[in-house]
Amino acid sequence: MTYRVRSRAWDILITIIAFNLAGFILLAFRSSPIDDQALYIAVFTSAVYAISYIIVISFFKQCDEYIMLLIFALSSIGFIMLYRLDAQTAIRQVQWFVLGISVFFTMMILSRYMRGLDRYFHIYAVASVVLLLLPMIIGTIRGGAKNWIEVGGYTVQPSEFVKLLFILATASILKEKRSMKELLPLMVFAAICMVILILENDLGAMAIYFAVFVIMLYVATSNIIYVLGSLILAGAVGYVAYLALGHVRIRVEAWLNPWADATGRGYQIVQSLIAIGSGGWLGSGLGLGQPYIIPAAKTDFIFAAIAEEFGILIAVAIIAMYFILIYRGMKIALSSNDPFNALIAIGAAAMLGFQTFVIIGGVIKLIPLTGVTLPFVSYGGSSMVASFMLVGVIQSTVIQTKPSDGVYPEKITGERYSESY
Amino acid sequence: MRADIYEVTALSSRYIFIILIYIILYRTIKGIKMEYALAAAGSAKPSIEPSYGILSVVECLDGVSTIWAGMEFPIKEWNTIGRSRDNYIIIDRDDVSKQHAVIYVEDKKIYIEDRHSKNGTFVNGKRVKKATRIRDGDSIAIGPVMFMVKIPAATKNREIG
Repeated sequence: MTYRVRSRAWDILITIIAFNLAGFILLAFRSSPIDDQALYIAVFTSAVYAISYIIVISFFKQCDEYIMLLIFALSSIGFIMLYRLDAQTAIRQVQWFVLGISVFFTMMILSRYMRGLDRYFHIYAVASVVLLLLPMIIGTIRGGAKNWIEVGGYTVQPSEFVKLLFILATASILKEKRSMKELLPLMVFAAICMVILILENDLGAMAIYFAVFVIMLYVATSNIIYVLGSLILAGAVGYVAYLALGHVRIRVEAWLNPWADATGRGYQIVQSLIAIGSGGWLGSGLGLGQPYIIPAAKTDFIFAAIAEEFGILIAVAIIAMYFILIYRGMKIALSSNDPFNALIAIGAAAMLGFQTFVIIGGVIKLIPLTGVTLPFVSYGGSSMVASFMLVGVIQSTVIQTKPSDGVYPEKITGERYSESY
Repeated sequence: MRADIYEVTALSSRYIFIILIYIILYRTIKGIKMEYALAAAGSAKPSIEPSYGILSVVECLDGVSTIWAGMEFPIKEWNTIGRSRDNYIIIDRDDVSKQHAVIYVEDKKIYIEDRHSKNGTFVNGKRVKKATRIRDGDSIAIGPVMFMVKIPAATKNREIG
């Protein structure tokens, strides 16, 4: 007797694990004695995916499993590419991934008990500004931007963690306040954050914060005047920055015509474009290209490295995965019946979306290049943990969404069908 | 591995990677589409009326296009089940009568009544002859479909026992 059975997302998990194993097995055979380390990482990461997925579907039933699976798929591509570039980096990245997903699960557990997070605007605002100022005082300069601090041998990028605080601060004001006067503290706070980021030369982060701020403002107030005002202000500030600040002009010029100074200012973009072009549709084959020539191939330019070796088809699929991930985040925000939760979910989804757009756009010369990481793919502990925090905010919104009368909570996010037969 | 053999392997495994990634993408999109289709099916009737519980489909034999295992129907004041298109729950198979059974709410209690169907309605394996009270956890078998009755605890404590 056959029953009509809905397939669960297990098949997606198995495909992700198959991809992960295939990538690492291929890399293991690259060196002449088989590289055991690659096989160990393959097994370990696959186990982490499987265990995390089981935890999600058994303990956090309302939480969106597709978001988790997309994160697994993206991080798997990242692990394989990092291992191909540098084995040690990949091992550390796996550690960051485990740390990130632990933080994520901790947030999910805490979110069941945490209520009233919307009352602490002042704490969020002060903490954000202090964290943003820290690198200016005790920071180290890396890649042109002074936004790193050293903590016990590890370098941490505080602006990554401020993302969450910034969203919380913005949402805690916007959840009920609408008038210009009430929004003034928020405007001041946002302006201070932007100015600090400009001074630290972290233009990518500034662009992302600004975009997220405008989106949250529009979502909360539906007031097009605020949005137009912010955009005009941003345009004016951008133009002044272009005229006044040398490094902004260099970026814009390198974007408009990188070939004019292909060995100097335009070097990064030129190398990135050559890499993507030489890969073509199908890619040069894993281990056969020269992605190590691209500057910052492990962090900011990992998308170009992936496009070279895996091909444009997979690069396009990665963009599609981010689309789905952000779309699901927005969908969760829409289903929330608490304005604060809905706003932080919108903010977190927008944050991930703009971060992806800014770096992929920069790498393919769609917009001026600014150094931010590709969430879940680029190497970076701060980035990985912060991205997991943003997803944790989105997913905890689902947990806090109260079911409407007489309907089971599962109904809100779509039913989970036929697990047991 | 020798460099030339590796090169051939790496070049051919490109196709495997692309196929796997697109399978992941396709299955994800399909799963999400399915989820929305099911959510829409569950809430097709506007839920202005209060829902007294849920009828969830635990088994469904092949050959029924309107129902599948895992679907859930909120129990309203008056819920008809049968083969014809004007029923609340439609089971399009010949061994189900046009209007087979009805589940209704009276005095905050949920009852099921057989509408003189040919093949009968079964609650917990017993054929229903007159209006029968149904409770949380009961199973209802109608032709090829087996429903499970779920009544939320809050409602149960307050009104429905």
